Amino acid sequence: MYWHFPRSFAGRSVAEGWPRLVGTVKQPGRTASGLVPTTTLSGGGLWAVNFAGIFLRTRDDLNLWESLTAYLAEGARPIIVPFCVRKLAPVPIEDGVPVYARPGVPHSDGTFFSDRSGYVTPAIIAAATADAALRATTIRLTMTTGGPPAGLFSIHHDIGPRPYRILEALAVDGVPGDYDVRIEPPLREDVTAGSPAEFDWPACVMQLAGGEAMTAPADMLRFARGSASFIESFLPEPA
Amino acid sequence: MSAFSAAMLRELKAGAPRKGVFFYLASDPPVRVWLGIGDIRPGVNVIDEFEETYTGLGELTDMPALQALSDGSSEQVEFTMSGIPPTVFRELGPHMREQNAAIVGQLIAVGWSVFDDRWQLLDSVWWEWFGFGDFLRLNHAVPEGARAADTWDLQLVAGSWNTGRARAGMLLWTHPHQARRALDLDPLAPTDLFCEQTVNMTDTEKPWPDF
Repeated sequence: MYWHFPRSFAGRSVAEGWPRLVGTVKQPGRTASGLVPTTTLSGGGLWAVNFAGIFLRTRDDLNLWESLTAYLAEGARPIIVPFCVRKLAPVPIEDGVPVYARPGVPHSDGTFFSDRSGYVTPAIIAAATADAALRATTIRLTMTTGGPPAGLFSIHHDIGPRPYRILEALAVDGVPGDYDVRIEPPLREDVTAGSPAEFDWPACVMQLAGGEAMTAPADMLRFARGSASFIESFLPEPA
Repeated sequence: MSAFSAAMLRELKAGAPRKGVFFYLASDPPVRVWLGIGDIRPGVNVIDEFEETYTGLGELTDMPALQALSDGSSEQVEFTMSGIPPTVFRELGPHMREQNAAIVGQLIAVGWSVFDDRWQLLDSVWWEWFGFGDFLRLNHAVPEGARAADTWDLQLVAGSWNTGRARAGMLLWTHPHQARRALDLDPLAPTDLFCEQTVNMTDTEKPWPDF
């Protein structure tokens, strides 16, 4: 069972929070003409994200931060981190208005859950149309709602959700809603047809980038500004 | 193994901007890792009879410089794995002796392959260096400063077939040295000419390709 890094924390990150794909590049040296040849050895890159300036005000916030810090164990345990890239998402436009979220659906008798939330449908519903092999960089997606694929999406593999960034999306002739999408990094696992693609809240299994990667210096021992930096993780799922 | 394909040659001419480096250790079960991130299935090749998965966690930090010379001796090389949490070492420590027994003399191979611009492998792995496992070593480095994090890594020391403790490493790349090394290996062919021209290459500038 993975824990989730709270979206409220991730979304509150004021200074940073945009995911990056980090590669390993080797430079053998500069030639006489100044050209620097490079070789990438990372095979596509590793996701990394920094959050900074997460304002922790209430007792609950601070307690949650403390328990997360303990859970993450300086990078020894993985966690699912949301990527707050709603700005990039191809949200559907209905009656001229972009739909970022849909209202919760109640139970059949009209009542909601005890915390007054209902069943949630994602604003963007998308799925893989065909199987795709491990390390494929092209995948065909069917967009049931939402516009042409753009930004980031994640696929929930056996090794947890992994995000992919879209280079280009080409509409498939004669099949409205189907797109051939070029992605990076290469698929982390095989994908079977019908696997949902999560555009609303892409997420990634990550771990802390190091021992001092999660801190929350407190002001006057009452408020704190948390920061955390994560890198993609391949640690086994915690029990 | 066949010659390079046209697509592979094109990438290589361009300086092969995307490369994969693979490592194989014939323990039981075999260790298959690569320098990249995520799993990869490079397909059938000299070592893998069937399609096998190589894991890449960025675990193998770097490849040592490999030295191989015909009729010469080679150095020992060390493959380093880091990013292993101290808790793993606590489990591993008591079993180091058993682990050692499992790797001594086992085949180690290092190979590479080239990706095209869509990160698809153009060919299976080209195994370039073959060696044998020697021993495992734990390395725990404590940097200066109280707040700096310790680094733990595991080193696998390996040698190629002509690495031996009794045989001196490559000290000088001269003809007499090479001739002696060749004699050691094969008394019937004492004249290995590999380093014969070394003397002509010292202290001079060699503009390429005009020699």
